[in-house]
Amino acid sequence: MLENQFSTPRHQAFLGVIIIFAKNVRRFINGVIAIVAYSYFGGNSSSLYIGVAIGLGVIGMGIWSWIQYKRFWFHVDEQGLQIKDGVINKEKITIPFDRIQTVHLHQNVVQRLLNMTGVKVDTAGSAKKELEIQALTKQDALSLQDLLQKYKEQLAAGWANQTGPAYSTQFDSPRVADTESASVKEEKDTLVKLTFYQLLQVGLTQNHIRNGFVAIGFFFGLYWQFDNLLDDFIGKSAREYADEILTSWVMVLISGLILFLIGSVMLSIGRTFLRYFDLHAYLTKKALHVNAGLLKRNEYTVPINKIQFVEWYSNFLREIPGFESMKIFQGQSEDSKKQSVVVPACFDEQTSKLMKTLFPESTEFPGFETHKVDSFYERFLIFIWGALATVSSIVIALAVNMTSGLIALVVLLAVIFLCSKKFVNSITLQFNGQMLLYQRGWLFTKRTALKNYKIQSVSWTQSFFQKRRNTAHLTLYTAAGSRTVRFINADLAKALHNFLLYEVEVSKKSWM
Amino acid sequence: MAETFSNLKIPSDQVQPIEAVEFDKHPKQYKKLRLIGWVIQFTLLSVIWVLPLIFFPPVAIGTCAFWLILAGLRLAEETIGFHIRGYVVRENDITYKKGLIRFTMTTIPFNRVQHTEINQGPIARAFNLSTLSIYTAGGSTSDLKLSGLDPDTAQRLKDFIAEKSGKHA
Repeated sequence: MLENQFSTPRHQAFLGVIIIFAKNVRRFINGVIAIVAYSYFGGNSSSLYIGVAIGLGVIGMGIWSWIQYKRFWFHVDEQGLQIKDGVINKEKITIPFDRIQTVHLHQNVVQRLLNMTGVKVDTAGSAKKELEIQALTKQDALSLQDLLQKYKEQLAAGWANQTGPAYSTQFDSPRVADTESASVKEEKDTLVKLTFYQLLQVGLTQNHIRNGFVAIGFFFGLYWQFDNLLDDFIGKSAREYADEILTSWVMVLISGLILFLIGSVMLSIGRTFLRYFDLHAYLTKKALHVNAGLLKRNEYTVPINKIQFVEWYSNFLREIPGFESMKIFQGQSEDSKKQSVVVPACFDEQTSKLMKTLFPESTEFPGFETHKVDSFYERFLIFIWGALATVSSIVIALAVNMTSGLIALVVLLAVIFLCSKKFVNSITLQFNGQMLLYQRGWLFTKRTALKNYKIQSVSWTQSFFQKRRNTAHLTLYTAAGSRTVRFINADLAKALHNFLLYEVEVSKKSWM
Repeated sequence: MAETFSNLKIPSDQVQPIEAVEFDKHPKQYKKLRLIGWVIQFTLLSVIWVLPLIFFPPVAIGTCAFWLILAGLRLAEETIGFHIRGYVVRENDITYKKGLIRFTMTTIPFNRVQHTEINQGPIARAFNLSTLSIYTAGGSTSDLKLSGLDPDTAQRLKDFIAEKSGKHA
């Protein structure tokens, strides 16, 4: 029998009161913020009244949290994880071991401050949201996770003995992978740990322009929401003043641009710190783990056999410190949302280590053949973008004058020629019989690594114009999305189509 | 498992290139159905946005010409292009090809099929045609829809694929 230190009903760690309290406060704030803000800025009610109301609310919530804490009991027995909960409506929940999918450890900002760990239990096939025991010491959390895991394994082993091989084949690798992922006593092979300085580098080399637009969208959204509020607060005169500023539009444009750039960079750094603070990516035997986050700690576990493909991407800013971001695409099952996990900074050695682990095929079968795309792609890009450039130059010529139009045309065409040439030259498709590597991009590079047997459907496409040039597009579909290799030699596309199908059809490996 | 491949040489006794296979064609009434679709589509769209433009003569000529070319191309696609459409079921996969202006050939191996489905819309029923949908995992991008099949053929194909893919599940 397993040693069970949770056999008698018990409370959470005492500091749990504060965690429950913080949660209640957050819920309360979410609920009433608008009312409070409006009455405050609206100036209709005295601040004393609001102060008293808030004070009473805080005391009330404190008491409530205390009761919640006192009424929460949990223990583990032969039936499963037992939880007693509820202040007004008492609830008694039993989670049988075989229904437990995964046991996560989790820390939000309050839990981190108090050095407490939450234990989240995912159950299979029930509509009820996952259960959380919010406050345990790290030690207790780990032992609880371990205990549940052991019970579950014992049960599975018992079943396998009773029902023979039918069971084990029915629940093949995914089950095994899930249980593996929850176990903490496995050997950890650290891949990436981000230092403060590296994190800053990641933040500085984000795609600022895109983040800037996100910010603009966000502020406009906020602005419209609080438009009335601001109106009362700032008063009408400020609006008239704003109109005057608008007339000197050059000033506005320049300062706006500077603000936009500063704001975008700030936002990039802020977002990076929020998402990737204290990032720790490590490998265990069956899974890749990524833990990161400042306020909200996220712990991702990707079973290696569920990885569909991996993409590395970089940009010209990132090439200075010399790292790439990595995105892992996981198979999308019907009931769970698509999940892709990002490791924002991989230096060369980390990339090669990952390649070795996730794609052992890359080193076992070194004979990579490299193929470039057809030069017709370049002409195609120049034609399409050139046509657009010509139209916009004509518009400029008509609207402003002939000279401006001509200058615009020359500049645009030069840029288009350069970009098209550089882009098309950057594309390579490599394969070694077991996997494909597809690289493209000049200033913004991207590289996709995909194993043959992960493919679930293949198609090739050829337009009327491509037929004369004997080029085609090849699209490879996986359970996590598709990637298209454009403008390769048509014979190569057809050969790959046949070859990859053959590879998939003879493959006996579990692909998702 | 095959070992390394140089220049994608596949053991020729095991694999027949899909280009060399004879494809099955759709029944004749599917062409009629597609032509009716073309007529409905262009009549509706013309009424919605070409007719109003006629009241602005300067742009109307260009727009109408563009519209006619578009309609003509689509008509060519449905008439000449119809003969390009075809499907073939091999031992381990199903392939569909189509397209005059933009040719596409898609293949799904049976060991990647999640489930299959037969549908019949009201108009298709009048023409005695069915649609066979073949679903793979992870979103709709790699699903294959085979419209305009004889109902018996569709059922036969569905049974065959279900049996084949069931072996791998």
